[in-house]
Amino acid sequence: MKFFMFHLMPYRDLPEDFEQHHDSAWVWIPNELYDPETGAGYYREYLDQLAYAEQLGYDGVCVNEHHQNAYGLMPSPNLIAAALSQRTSRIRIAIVGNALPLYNPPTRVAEEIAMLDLISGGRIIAGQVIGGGPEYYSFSINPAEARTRFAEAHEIIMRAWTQPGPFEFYGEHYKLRYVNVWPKPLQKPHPPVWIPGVGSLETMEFVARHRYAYMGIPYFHIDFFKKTYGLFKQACEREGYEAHPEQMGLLMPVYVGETDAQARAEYEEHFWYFKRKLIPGLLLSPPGYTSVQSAIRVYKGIESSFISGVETWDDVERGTYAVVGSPDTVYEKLATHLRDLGAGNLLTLLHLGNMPPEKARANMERFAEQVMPRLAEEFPSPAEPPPRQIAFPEHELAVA
Amino acid sequence: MELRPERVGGHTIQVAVGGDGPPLLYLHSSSGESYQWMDLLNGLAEHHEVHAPLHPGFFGSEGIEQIRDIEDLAYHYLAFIEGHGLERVDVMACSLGGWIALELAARYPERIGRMVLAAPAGIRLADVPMADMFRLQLGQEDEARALFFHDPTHPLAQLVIPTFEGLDDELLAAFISAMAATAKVSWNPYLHDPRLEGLLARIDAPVLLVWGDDDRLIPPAYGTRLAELIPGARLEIVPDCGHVVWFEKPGELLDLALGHLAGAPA
Repeated sequence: MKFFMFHLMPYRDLPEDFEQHHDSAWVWIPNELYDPETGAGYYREYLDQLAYAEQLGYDGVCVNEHHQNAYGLMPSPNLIAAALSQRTSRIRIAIVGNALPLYNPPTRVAEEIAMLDLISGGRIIAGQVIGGGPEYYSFSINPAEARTRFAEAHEIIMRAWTQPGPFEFYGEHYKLRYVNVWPKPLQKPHPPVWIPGVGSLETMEFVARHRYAYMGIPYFHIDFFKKTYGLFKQACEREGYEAHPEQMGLLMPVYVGETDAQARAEYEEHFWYFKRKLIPGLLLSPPGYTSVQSAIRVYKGIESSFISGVETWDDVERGTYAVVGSPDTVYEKLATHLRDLGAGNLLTLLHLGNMPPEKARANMERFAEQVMPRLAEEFPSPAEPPPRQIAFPEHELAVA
Repeated sequence: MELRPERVGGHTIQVAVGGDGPPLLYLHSSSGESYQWMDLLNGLAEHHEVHAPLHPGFFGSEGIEQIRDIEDLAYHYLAFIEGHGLERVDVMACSLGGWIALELAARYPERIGRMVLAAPAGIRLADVPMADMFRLQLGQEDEARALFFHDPTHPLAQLVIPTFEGLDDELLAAFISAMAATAKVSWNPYLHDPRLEGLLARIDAPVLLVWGDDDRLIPPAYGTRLAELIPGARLEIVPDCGHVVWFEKPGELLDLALGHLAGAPA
């Protein structure tokens, strides 16, 4: 098992009555509510927490990308990764951005990730994401082009990293006369690629075909993930191989207290801040952003299994929207779910909502000292490494 | 009146066809009203041979993959007109359809006869913001009715903007697909084409613009501006009416349209 500390860097000071006056923490949330003095302090705290993860023995940290919102204040995950590259020396830095369709030309992403890989000494995991629905409002990018832009940008970046330049790329969206990225990444043939998905079959098949790692978008009922990971494993089987545990990541809000009761008492207010103030707007879905069938599925899934429908702590427990309790409880629950899902990357969200720094650090410590070693023993890393990622499976097939 | 398939540009589209008289091309709004043959279209068919194609992406019309922007839709309908051997055709069009008609008439003025346009999109007034129809999410049907209708309790409001909860998957898919097709050509620039304003002076058809006085999506000031930009165009404001004149005041719109198409003085 590989242990990552995932951070969202949320805004912690939304007004008490925020949700009575605003239906979304995204896109249209007035930025009058953002206080730069407070925000500067947040970045210091959050960077401290992520750097602390290395000291505590985590395998890596995860940063992600969102725009114009209070839920996650890393519009540029690359800047955060750059800062972390200077404050850590061992751990992996997983960038679960860059939202490729937002960058034109996408060679910019190839350049920045290559720089980060070099600066960090080859520690970067290169997430490649389509970007959430809200980002298409925030960037005014046509959501109908999300998938095709992603596919073209992905090809440009992977070719820029692995094929001799300069070369020409003429796609539907990007027309680049000279692709010739300096510098190239340190890791060979390229930094590992992770791709998050909300359960669409097209995304899983893409990830399976390339042997990349798949990460389920969190905040759904645990049964939703079981179904999703089952489908991903099937997609890998159709490609002729068995999914490797490290091709799957489970992202989960986690809180470890002294006892179950104390953990809940310490945690609950932060969970509700997160759920009531920061989640609304996360699943904004502009027309054309997904296929019609996916749109219907997500629409109905939101009704039945998304965190927005959670009203009581019983709902939280029943659907495993967060794993909260004593070290024993957290260990047992995570072990059960990780076994069921077959995931080999645990991405722990150890800070949530308006949690103050001392609580987040204590949570990180208790998880690292009292849960992580037991999970590591229960789920030793497989002898076989994950399958080699294939940036251009179609080319390989043509050769074979 | 019947819905029948036709081939345009290598794709099969659905076209509502019917009526007797001089041919009339009807280009529907983002609601895809040509799919359901409503009073307005029936009224037009009493005096015209009406051809009401469903835009690509709407109710079984194919070819949306090949449509990148509004100009592609204009050429799609140029091909439609040519395919029917029409030298010059009268047009009635609403909202999104009206925008397509303006793009087409500005490029090929010789192919367009008389035009009736109800609340067409297509231009932008910097000081009169349009509302954002794409902000509405599935499940916000009440808000949608309030945006499109002056009177959201109008009997047609529930019919043309049904409550999605509990709707059968096929109908839900049709609505989602229609909204996606609309957004594909009008997401950004939002509901307008910056080139269009400069081309409108080329239109030489007699144009009647009809606007609801309480249009909350594209305010009536857009009608006033279009009437200045299109040579000889006339603007009629319909009282107590929202954006969807064709649903909310179909009788008034029909009378105005038939009068204009019959050649009443501009």
